[in-house]
Amino acid sequence: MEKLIVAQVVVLLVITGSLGGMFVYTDIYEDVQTKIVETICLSCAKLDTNLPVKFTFETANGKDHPDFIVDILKNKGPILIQYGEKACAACEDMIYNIIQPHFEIEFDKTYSFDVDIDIHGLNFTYVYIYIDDPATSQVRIDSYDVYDIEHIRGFPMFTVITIEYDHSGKIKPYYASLYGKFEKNNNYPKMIQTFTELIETSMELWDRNIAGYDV
Amino acid sequence: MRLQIKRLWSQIVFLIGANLGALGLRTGFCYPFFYCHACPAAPAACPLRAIEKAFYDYSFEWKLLLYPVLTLGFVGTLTGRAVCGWACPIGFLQRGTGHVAKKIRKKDFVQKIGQHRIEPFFRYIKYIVLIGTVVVTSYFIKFMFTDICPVGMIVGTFPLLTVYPGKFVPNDFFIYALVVLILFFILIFIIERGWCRYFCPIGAILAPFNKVSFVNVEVNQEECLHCNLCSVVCPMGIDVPNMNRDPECILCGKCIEKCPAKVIKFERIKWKN
Repeated sequence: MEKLIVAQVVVLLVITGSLGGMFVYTDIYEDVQTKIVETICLSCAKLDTNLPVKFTFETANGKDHPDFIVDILKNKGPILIQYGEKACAACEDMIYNIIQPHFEIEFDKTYSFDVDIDIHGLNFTYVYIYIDDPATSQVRIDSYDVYDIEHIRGFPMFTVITIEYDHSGKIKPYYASLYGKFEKNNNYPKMIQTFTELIETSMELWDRNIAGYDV
Repeated sequence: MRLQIKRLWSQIVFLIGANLGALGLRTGFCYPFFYCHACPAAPAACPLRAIEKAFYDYSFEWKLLLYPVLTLGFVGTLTGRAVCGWACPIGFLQRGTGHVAKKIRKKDFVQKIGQHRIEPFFRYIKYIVLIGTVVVTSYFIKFMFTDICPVGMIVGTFPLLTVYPGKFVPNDFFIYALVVLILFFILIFIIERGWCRYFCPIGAILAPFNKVSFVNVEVNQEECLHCNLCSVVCPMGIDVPNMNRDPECILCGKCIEKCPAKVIKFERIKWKN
């Protein structure tokens, strides 16, 4: 009996100590909170392919556009953001069937990065935000909520951002978000066409408005 | 208050607790039982999802593996698999289907399954499911248990499709998950606690902790009448008089209530003999 009690106490102390240590010395709590609990896992459901794509000025959570977005808009041009996470089949599908081959981007899906694209007559900055990359800044992870216009918290999400006159006559960031694999039956040519049209619209708006864009 | 009534209240309280996300609560904890973080009202993470992410696609993240295992280990060391019997919402669901299962248990074919000599080996399936579909297939072929999880479908997918109408549609895994869900319901209707006995990966993690838990069920062998009533009522199909900290025991207490000689009881840590 004494042996069992010793074993029980040792096991409890080891587990409690390790768990407590993880809470104190690692960011596991925040990781699980932001990357699992607050993110909808779509194992046997996926984001609807027929959600409308609409440009808007209003951010999804009412907060301002992040500085890194404003900087790119001011200095470079329109932006295409892809938000991805680990264990997301649709994210990988979109990367390997559209983003990588069509825009000819060198890709490591586990690292966040920005790259300027100039291909097929399209000029824009591609921003890949992989929330499970430890090097991804919190500002970039939090930007998901700024553009999650349907308040879904699902992945992948794509956001095209440009600038346009708002109703008050001031030039502001203007964006549209697309969710999941946004065409039925893996219709990749149609998805590429959608991206192309959105980026062309964004480029046109950016070219027209950049002279008056004052941050 | 009768023990089973207390257990019922406990299950109701934990079911409510498992859905506190409906009030906006989103924590970074893992559930110590089976519940899906994809549930629109979930305030915590599914331990299996964390483990899958730890191993997904040739990767290994020790934090995502240790965190859920230690969480389950902490609860398991204190109470063993009592969470299965007293807290798990899926256990609660099977409590509801258990009455039907008890009636069906009298049918010949179910008795044959229950009494078949290989039935005890079925209990190892949950360890195979845990290692096979949560770890190995996630690592090598990116197929995860949660892709076809019946619990995820009940508390995650269906509520998701309902709460966000028009925003989600079934994907490629949906049909497979639906088949697994149907099999899940057939199982829990023909075998009492069939899911917990044979397939639950969370139960597989918790089960070994029954051997060292501070709370367990003890039978006084010397005063036992060997009437076997305890084994008959045991939802996990354990040979109660001969169990010695059986990994399958969920500490539901049905045997304690049924024992005519009152020789079965919950045993807590003994500091003195």
